[in-house]
Amino acid sequence: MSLAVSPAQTMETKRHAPLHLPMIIPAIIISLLSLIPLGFIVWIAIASGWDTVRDLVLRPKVAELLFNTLILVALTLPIAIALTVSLAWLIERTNLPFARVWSWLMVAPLAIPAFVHSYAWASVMPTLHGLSGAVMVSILAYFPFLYLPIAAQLRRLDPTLEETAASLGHTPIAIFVTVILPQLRLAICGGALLIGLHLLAEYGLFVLMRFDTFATAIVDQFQAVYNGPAANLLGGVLVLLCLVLLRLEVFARGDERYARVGSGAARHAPKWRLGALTWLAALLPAALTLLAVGVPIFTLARWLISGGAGVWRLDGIGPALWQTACLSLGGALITTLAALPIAWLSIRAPSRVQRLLEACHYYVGALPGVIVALALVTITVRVALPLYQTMATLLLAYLLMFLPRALVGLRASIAQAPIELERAAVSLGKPPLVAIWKTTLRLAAPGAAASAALVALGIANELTGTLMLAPNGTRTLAMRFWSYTSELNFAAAAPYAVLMVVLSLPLVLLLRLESDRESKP
Amino acid sequence: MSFLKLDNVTKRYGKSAAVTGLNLTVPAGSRTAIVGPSGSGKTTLLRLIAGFESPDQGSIALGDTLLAQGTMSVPAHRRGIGYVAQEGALFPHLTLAANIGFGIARNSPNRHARITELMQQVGLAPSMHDRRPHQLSGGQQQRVALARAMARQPKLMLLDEPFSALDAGLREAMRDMVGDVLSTAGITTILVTHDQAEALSFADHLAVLRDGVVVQAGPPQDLYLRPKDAQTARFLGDAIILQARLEDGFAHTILGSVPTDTVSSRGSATIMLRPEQLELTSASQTDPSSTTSLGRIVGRTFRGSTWRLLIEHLPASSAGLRFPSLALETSSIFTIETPSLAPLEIGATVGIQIVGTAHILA
Amino acid sequence: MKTTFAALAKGLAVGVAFAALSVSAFAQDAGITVYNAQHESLAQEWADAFTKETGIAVTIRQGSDLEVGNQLIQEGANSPADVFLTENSPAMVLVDNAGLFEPLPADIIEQVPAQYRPENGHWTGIAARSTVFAYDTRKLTEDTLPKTMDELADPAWKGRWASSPSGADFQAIVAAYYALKGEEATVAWLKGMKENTVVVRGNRAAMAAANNGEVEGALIYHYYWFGDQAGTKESSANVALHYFKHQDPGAFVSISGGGVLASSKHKEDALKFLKFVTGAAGQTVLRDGTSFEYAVGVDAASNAALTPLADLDAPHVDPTQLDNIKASELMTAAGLL
Repeated sequence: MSLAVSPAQTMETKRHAPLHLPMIIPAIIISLLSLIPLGFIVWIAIASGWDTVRDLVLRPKVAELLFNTLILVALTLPIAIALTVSLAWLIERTNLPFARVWSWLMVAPLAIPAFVHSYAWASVMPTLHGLSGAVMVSILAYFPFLYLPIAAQLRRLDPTLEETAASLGHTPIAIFVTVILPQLRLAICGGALLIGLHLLAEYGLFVLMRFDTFATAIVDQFQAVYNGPAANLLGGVLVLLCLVLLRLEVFARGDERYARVGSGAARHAPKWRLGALTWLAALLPAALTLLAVGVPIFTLARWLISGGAGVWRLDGIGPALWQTACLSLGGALITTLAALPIAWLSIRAPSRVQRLLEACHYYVGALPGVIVALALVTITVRVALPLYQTMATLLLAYLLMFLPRALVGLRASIAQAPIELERAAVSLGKPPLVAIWKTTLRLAAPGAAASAALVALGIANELTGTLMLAPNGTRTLAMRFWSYTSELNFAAAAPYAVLMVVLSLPLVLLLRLESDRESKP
Repeated sequence: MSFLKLDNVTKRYGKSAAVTGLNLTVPAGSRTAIVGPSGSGKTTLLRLIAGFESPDQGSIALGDTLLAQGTMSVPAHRRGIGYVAQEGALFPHLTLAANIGFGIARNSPNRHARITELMQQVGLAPSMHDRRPHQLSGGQQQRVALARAMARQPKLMLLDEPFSALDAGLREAMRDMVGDVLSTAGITTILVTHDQAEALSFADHLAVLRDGVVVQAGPPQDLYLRPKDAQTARFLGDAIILQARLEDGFAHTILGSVPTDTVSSRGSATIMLRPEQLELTSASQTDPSSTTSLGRIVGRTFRGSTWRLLIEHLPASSAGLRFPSLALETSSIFTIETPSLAPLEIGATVGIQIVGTAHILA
Repeated sequence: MKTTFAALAKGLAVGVAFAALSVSAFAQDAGITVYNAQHESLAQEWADAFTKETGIAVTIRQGSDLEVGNQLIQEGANSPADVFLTENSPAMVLVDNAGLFEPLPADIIEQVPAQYRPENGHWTGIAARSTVFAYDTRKLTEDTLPKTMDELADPAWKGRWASSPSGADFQAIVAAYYALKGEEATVAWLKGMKENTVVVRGNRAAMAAANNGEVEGALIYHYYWFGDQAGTKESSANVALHYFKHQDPGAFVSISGGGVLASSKHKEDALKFLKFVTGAAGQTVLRDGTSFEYAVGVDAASNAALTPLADLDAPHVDPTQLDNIKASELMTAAGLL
């Protein structure tokens, strides 16, 4: 989720000073907007008073939720990391047969929303539930978040380092531990953070796995008393958990730079021969594909067949599909545009102010959708009634939730566009903003498209925020699916799940291609 | 006394062969340079010796130990051969000291002392102990890489173009430093480079590699003065290649007659002269009957201590040209460096005098 | 500069246009807005039949009883809602206590017998559901079934039954227990429940837990079983229903309510809708549809498969006496929420 800012760029601050203003003003506005949810939590805590906070937060149920949430994260992350590192290594660095095919299949689970994974498992194995079910389905649904950066980093690694270590007498296993793993640290930390935040925020997956976390408890409270103090204060605890997770990641990442020293050879690392172990090794990706792709597809197919033509009610499906497509594309476009000024500033004019602005998004973007939704419901209903239950509020919620996703990709692609081009354009007589538009932003377009895809994917599968904020009459695919699933009407829910998967697939393909492009040595 | 011996080694990548039936012996205690244009297979050769690759055919032996033969290959980490990569390949996640100590067992009692000693040997200040690789200059990185490779006291050290990324001035200083350090430590060294000047000045044994085979190997001076063919001649430095008629130990060329380094052959041949064998004389002092031929200066570049002159050979209308059929191999223009003390103007006519002997190319 | 701003503006315009497009795609102008906490499919059946008959469009906003109830209170006079439908009575009481309902005219009230609606006439019953104990027929028989709801709090039942305490349905059952037995007994019962019950989310999930052998029974409403039996039997093949009867709290019949908001800007259409739901046509939807809830209209017949409402021997609970706030407080204190 984070990218090192090149210190060399600080020199540019003064040179570009007049150019900042048109970029800094929108950046500040968007940052202030993104402080809304955090401000809301603080305000609730203060307004409730200590006695209420004590009654509602310091009680056994909260301890139970805390324990559940912590043990979930503590079990899921290490298993997911171990699994993904072995997978990525097998696929990228050995002569595993069909490596290309596997490497695509390992990203495919992203096209299936987490709660659809959960739905599939709940119907295939009704007895799977609680902690073990939650951990297993979380890993299956989220491991691509780790796989993508780790595989990309593995492809980027300079094989000379490993060879040098071998010439210094280190065995292959020692090399893996002392040379390869440390260089994967950033990728692992980033991916693990992303999964951790999803674990804190996810609602549907855990409801179907019958596992209580803060997110499910907040929604329960919301459904019992709307935006009562209990839901909001639980939200406060959840925010604290998110902050703890973010700090942990910073701590684990360390402040070291792992960039390759020097330009290095544009050479691919030699592939390890698996020999007799080949087919045993192929079992790992095969089993994972079966569990993370096969089970959902099998389940959906089964319900589609048992539901027959009757479940394809076009009067429900048509509008839901159209609304979902509009919301995700419109939301993605707006979010990506909103991220542009901040992304540009962070690369071209890093400064204390810019870092502060960025921190706003970074922390707020880590907050679960349910918190953002709670804040916006309360604020619109109490202060800004004309905005209550409007599309504008829903889009704002999406913007706040998914801005960091857009930011990461945009920053990386702006960083790849050399500043010299902007200068060349200026020297050729273009005004500064035009120069930026014609050079850097043009070059960043593929990255921006990938960012937008990531945002659209998030919106298409967003559930809690949409449930709480959507205008009257809005029924997205996710909402319909959820409504049927919570009645355990799996057959009627199946068409909506299929459509969500179909809608997500091209976006996942785009993501994967972009990750390929960025990791070319 | 041969130390490293490669016998008929072949390595293919897919259909293209990087190294074909290559033979090479490296004398013990020598500083061997393997030089060749890019794509000649020199890096593959180095990787085969290091054990990062195993040959498809042939054998590699180090002293009495067989490193590779047929499908058998000792893995890199058991060969005990030191290796310094192109840009040092320092581990970015480790400090300078940890990089140097990477090959020394963690529980070794004198680990710390050994690191300090190595840092001193390669000229790194003790205060840099905790620096990270990205805080080091290119030269410092190479020093760390060298110290790291020496930590395990290898009998053989492989240097893979370690100076190519450095500035010109630094490059020479580093080369001398590395040579001295390794000689003092008594480590046989193989340097791979595409830079012939570097190879000539570093090595006491030189192997020229082309298209996956060793074209010629021997002492650098021998190879420079007596290259096997025109390509090798040009690769090792500026060369003037002439058609000649051999007669009684002389080669007769358009530039005049020169004694040859071998007297046996007769008939037509190709000979090579190094530019430093041509002496320019002022045209006015030229005796028309002598073996001196004439040229005109058509271009010049000032290079500090020398002028680099572009000289067009003037077809002699007069006497002295006994063999009109002979010509410069490619064109009638060649370059010569002369001391900058005596500037020569463009357009001036000069006499060309050959000193030393001509080398007959195969 | 100009071109850049123009380009940025263009991008923004496209985004806004998209958003506007989405709004127009969703907005269903005119007609009435129903805040619905009843099952979505049932509400949709009513809405479709109503639109077919009157031509008045119906927009449904889905939620759960107390979520929507509390939402209405927060929105107050500004609420876009015209009609409120629930699964259980407590949310109706909540909204009524806030004074947000339009008193109903006699022609609507008279369509439902007095025992299925509050005396004040601010809202009315629209359907009913009975509490049942859905049990695994492979594990329990006539004589091993619990005789009363109280038994389920005994240590003997530890880990043997499932429930969905986070749902409004179960909270209504607790509210009825509280209305019938008082605070002390309720606290004691909830304490036993916390010890004994396997918590799941949703009544159907509770039934599924009994069906797949995870527990022996589940305290739920009756229609989940009938719905599943009529469909794939995925969650009920091994399950049968046990009615507590004898006016036990476990035989509680919960009234689904409907009311018209005083703030409604389409009051006439809203009243028409409620009249339709409680009238013969609306109640027929209950008999012939897939909801399997009891019809409550005067002379309206329920689905023939159901045990007749009159035979359930339910305890008498005044729907206006169901104090949901108290129930959820007690459940929160017991650690169930």
